[in-house]
Amino acid sequence: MIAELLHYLSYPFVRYALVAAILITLCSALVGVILVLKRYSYIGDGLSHVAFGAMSIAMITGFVQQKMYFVLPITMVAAILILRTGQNKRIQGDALIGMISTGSLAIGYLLMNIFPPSSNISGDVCSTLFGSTSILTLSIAEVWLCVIASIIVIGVFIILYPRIFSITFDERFSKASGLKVDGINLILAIIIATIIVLAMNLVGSLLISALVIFPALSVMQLFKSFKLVLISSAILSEICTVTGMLIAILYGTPVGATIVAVDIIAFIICWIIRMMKR
Amino acid sequence: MKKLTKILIVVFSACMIALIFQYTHEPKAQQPVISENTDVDYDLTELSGNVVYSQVYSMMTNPQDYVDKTFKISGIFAIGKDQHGNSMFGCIIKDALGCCQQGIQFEWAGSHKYPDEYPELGKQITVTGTFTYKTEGNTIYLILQDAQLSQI
Repeated sequence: MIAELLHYLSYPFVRYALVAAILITLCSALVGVILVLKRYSYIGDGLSHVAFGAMSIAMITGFVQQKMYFVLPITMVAAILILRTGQNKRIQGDALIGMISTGSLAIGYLLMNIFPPSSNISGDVCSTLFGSTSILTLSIAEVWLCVIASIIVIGVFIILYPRIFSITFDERFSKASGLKVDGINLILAIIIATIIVLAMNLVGSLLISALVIFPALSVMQLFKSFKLVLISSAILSEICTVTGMLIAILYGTPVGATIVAVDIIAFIICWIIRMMKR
Repeated sequence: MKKLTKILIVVFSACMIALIFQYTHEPKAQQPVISENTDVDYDLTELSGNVVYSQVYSMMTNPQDYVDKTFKISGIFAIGKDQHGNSMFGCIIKDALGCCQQGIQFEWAGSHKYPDEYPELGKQITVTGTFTYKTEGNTIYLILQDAQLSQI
């Protein structure tokens, strides 16, 4: 099996995929902890649907190669809209996410059917929703885009760590103590949108939430310190992603679904450990 | 915080080093993966579905890197027509989800009559041949020339 694995690693696209997956997973695990603690878990799902809608428009307008530059800004705008308008009393945050996500999904699918970008619409939709082999078909330019986006996300996260920590646990207190909460939330929204768009290649738009939520929830079964949860979530998420990818590469299973299945197993193991500790 | 920063930097640096290493150690054309069991350059019959699909995708996006390399592929026998209405015989490869598929045209060595000597449509076949490609408009046709055909 090791020999077979080494043989697969001789393919450039397998190595590109692993590098991109490790970076995307690291970013998503960090943001995942914040989203779970702030009870914004479902925002990832909502934004991924928006990204699907934007991707559909990119495909039918012939911007398939430049899709990232099209999908990223639209998803960022949607993220800001959800976080800002979510505080509106007339449309609650969860209802807004539901509206935007299902609306984008429906419009995206409708447009792809009216203006088919290729002869295989079901294939295009399926690979966007479930990732399929997208991560194994990345070009070197897309890998570099992942690297640059990851550097920005991780850099911003490290710089803003004390502020993010503060608003994660008590937004009102942070506001009262003079922290620019709206500004940090805006940056968080942009970071979330970036990760969602990058992660679409890894697991597809329907499975992104799993990549964001599962590692955070798994380690929260075992640890209570914020820092420890953050570090262990990143490590666990990396282990699950690399394991899932290697299984998918070795046995030909769908990449995204396999990674999520490994995440589920990790969650169950963490949950059992917590139960045994009681 | 310092510990977290260090771990993040270590993981990130490892990824960057891996990427730079593989990029600088790789020639422009992708390295042929010589099969140990056969005399072909790329034996795709020994690979998992995901890797086969991705390899064919790579051939589709960078066909010039694979010209004159020999390939052995397995897939489903299919017939299509080019833009001029000429019949093409192909081998269809699906991805792991079964929703996406890509085809490689093949030109069977020798003279063979269709349909008498060809497999039934949808049958699993193995094709070995030398890679070339042609472009017509925006369409790229991947072709295995001088191919040997066998049914599985």
